[in-house]
Order: sequence, then C-alpha cells, then structure tokens
Amino acid sequence: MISCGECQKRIVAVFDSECSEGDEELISMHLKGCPECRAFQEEMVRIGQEFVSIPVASLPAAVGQELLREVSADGLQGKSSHPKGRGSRQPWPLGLRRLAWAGGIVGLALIVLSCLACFILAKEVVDLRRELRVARQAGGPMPSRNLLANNHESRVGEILSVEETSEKLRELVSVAGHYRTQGPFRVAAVQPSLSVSYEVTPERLAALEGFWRDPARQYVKAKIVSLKELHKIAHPAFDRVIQSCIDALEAFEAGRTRDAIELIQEVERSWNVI
Amino acid sequence: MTDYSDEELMGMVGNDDVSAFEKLFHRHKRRVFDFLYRMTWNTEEAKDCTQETFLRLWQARARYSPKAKFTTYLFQIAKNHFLDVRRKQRSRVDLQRLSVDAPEQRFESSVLSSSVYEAAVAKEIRSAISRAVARLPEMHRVVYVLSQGHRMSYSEIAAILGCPVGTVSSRKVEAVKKLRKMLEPLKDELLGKGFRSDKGGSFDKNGQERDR
Repeated sequence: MISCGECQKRIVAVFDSECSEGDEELISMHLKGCPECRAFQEEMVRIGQEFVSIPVASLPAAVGQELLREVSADGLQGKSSHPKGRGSRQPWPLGLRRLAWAGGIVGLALIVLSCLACFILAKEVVDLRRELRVARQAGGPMPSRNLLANNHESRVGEILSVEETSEKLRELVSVAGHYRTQGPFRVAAVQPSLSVSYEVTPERLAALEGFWRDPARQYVKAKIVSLKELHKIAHPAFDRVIQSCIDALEAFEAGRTRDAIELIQEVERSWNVI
Repeated sequence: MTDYSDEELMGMVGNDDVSAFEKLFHRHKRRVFDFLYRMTWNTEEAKDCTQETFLRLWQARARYSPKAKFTTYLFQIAKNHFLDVRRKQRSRVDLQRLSVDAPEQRFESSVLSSSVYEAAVAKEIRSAISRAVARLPEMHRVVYVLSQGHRMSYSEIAAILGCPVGTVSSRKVEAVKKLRKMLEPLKDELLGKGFRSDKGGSFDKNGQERDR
C-alpha cells in the first residue's frame, strides 16, 4: 500500500501519461480506501478540464505583419550582418574607439605631468624659502642669483665706485664710535668684499658737515637708489632703510646732526628687521 | 516548403531565408501565443511576447543547431522572454486585467433557470481557475501550462526549463496541490459538475472515464 503523497504523485503522472508499469493498479487499490486521494484525483481532473476549456484570445493578425516586415528588412541586409535586436547595442566604430583611447592616454599623461610640475615647483619654493631664511639670518637682503649672474660684469664698475664712495664716507665717519650701522651701504654686500661698516659718533658726524656739502652726496644718493633698482627688492623694510639713509644725508647736509644720528639708529633697527 | 520539417526550415532561416521563417512563424504562432496567453492571461502582453519570441528566434538564427527539437528551442525562447518580462515588472499579475471575464458574484439556483445557472457556474469556475493559475509561482505555472495546456511530456518540459525530469514531476504535483487549495471555496461547484470518479476508476488524459 502506497502513501497518499506517493499516490497523488502517481495520479498526476498517470494523468500526464508519465506513469510506470503497475502504477494504475497501485492507484486503484489506494483509491478504494482513501476518499482524500479520490477527491484529489477528481479535482485535479476537473481543474485540468476546465483549464483547457478556457477560451484563448485569438492572435491579432497585425502581429505577423509587423514581425515579418521587421524580419524582412533585417534579412535584406544579408547574412554578414550580425544578429541585432531592437535593444541591442551597436559597437563603436573602430576609429572612434582608437580616438577615445588616445584621448584617454593623453589626458592621463597631462595629469602625470601636472603632478610632476607641482612637485618640482613645490620643491623649488621650499628651496627658495630656505635660501631666503638663510639670507635673512646673514643680515642681508635676499640676492637675486640670476640677476647677479646676468649683471655682474656690467655692475662691477658701479659697485666699485660705490666702494670708493663708501670708503670715503667711512673714512670721514669712522671718527665717531658710539653708533654702528650697516645700513645703506650694506646693500653692497651683493659682493662680500664690498661690505662696509661705520662707526658714527657725534664728533665724527660733526666732521661730516663739510663732507655733505660735497657734490659726492648726490652721487651716493643716486647709487643707493640704483642699487635698490639693481636688486629689484621691494621689501618695505628695505624701502624704509633707503628712505632713512636719504633723510640722514639730508639731515647731515642741513647741519641737523642729532636728527641724522636718530635716523641712523632707525636705519639700524630697520636693517635688523630685514 | 510545406513538407520541410521545423529543423530543416530553421536551417534555411540560418541562411537568412525570410520565407522559411515566415513558414515557421505561421506554423507555430498559435501554440506560442496560446502558451504565453495562459501564462499572462492578457492578450496584449501575450501578443507582444509572441512577437518578441519570434524576433529573438530570428536574431538567434546563426546560433541555432538542431540538437533538440525545434519546438523545445522555440518554447525555451518564449519561456525565457516571459521570465525576463516578469523579472522586469516584478509585480504580480494584475488580476483586474485578466482577459477572461471574472464575475465575482455567486449565482443562486433559485433565481436562475438550470441551464443558465450551470453556464454561470462554469464561467465562474473558469474565471477562478485562471486566477488561480496566474497566482502560481512562475516555474510551477510554466510546468502546469506546458503539461496541461500543451500536453508536453515531462522530458520535453525538462529540456525547455533546463532541469531534471523529476523536478518537472514534483513541480506539477505542487502546482495541482496549490490550485486545489486556492480553489477550495469552489470545491462543491467543481465536483458537482462534469466528470466524477467516485469508484476510483481509471481515466484518460482528457479526464474521460475509461470503459472498465
């Protein structure tokens, strides 16, 4: 005797003509004593009958016409055409694909070059800042290396003339010893051998009165300005130094020695800032 | 060309023979549409699916190799397309769209004549069955429709679905059990009309009682 589950499985198989030999006999024996499986069989058959008898709508004629028109159009393109559907993707033309690849590679190369340039510039900035810091610690303005290299030969004469003037000035000023400045003539430090220092005292400054009447004063002033131009220095503290130097010279010229000393002190403070 | 087998015609279609394709279309359109209609219960959807099925057949003409029956190949395409559509829709069949008229009211025999009552009951039963079939899981529905509606063998259905024959058998049994359960409220009407087998007698595929 088979179970109800097995019987129902075989009932379905018999109904679908998928039964094995002896199935029908086993089913019949089971059904005689099993109303549940009989109900299963009856309902299955009835449902199947009714399902098959459900009317199916007719196929619209337009389906074939539309389809065959589409297929005919496709068939005319020949066998070489690839199967394609309404939703299929069209491959890119070969030239366009190569262009896209080339564009991508160029773009990538540009990105790499940009990164490299940024890295080099950043490194250069760091170097320049370091040099500037060193130069400031040394007490002088930042020399422009390229400018010096380009203009060194042509400026030597001017610098030497400044040296001569400076020597003359130093000679006159050295009698005074209370104040020390590396102010206006420190700009000549672009060439270390031209570094000068001064010791200014009221007595020495007083001795300078005659000097500042000398036409060389105008020359010194002009040289200071030209040196500023030479180095293209735009540091505001340096501007103040230059202006203070000029004012000091004018004070000397006017016989205002005390003012000149104060101005030189200011030059000294400003120079320290630089 | 009428004497060519399906496989031979498909071979011609592989060589871009549109007339062979047309022949195949006219030969099988009704079965494909019938299958898809019973899967969707919607004329428009079945029409679109039928059209798309044959279009896919045309597009796949170069890949066809006559290893299996042509109808198996064709129904594979139809089934796959149906499942694709369902996957996209991801929604249950809208029962309101069922083509089969689905009267909801029950009929009382006291107010209707006998023949009218039986016709109304039969209509109601069919409507209920179509709704129940639409509620079956898709793979169960495919098995039930192909087996019941198209009388395909389990091995043929297994080839279409790409599964073992045993799976087809178990799905069919499950489908019948689910239908029984869904149609439980109509049990009396279902058993009160037509074929009966109170004695557990044998029956043929159409539910007709065999002579004993």
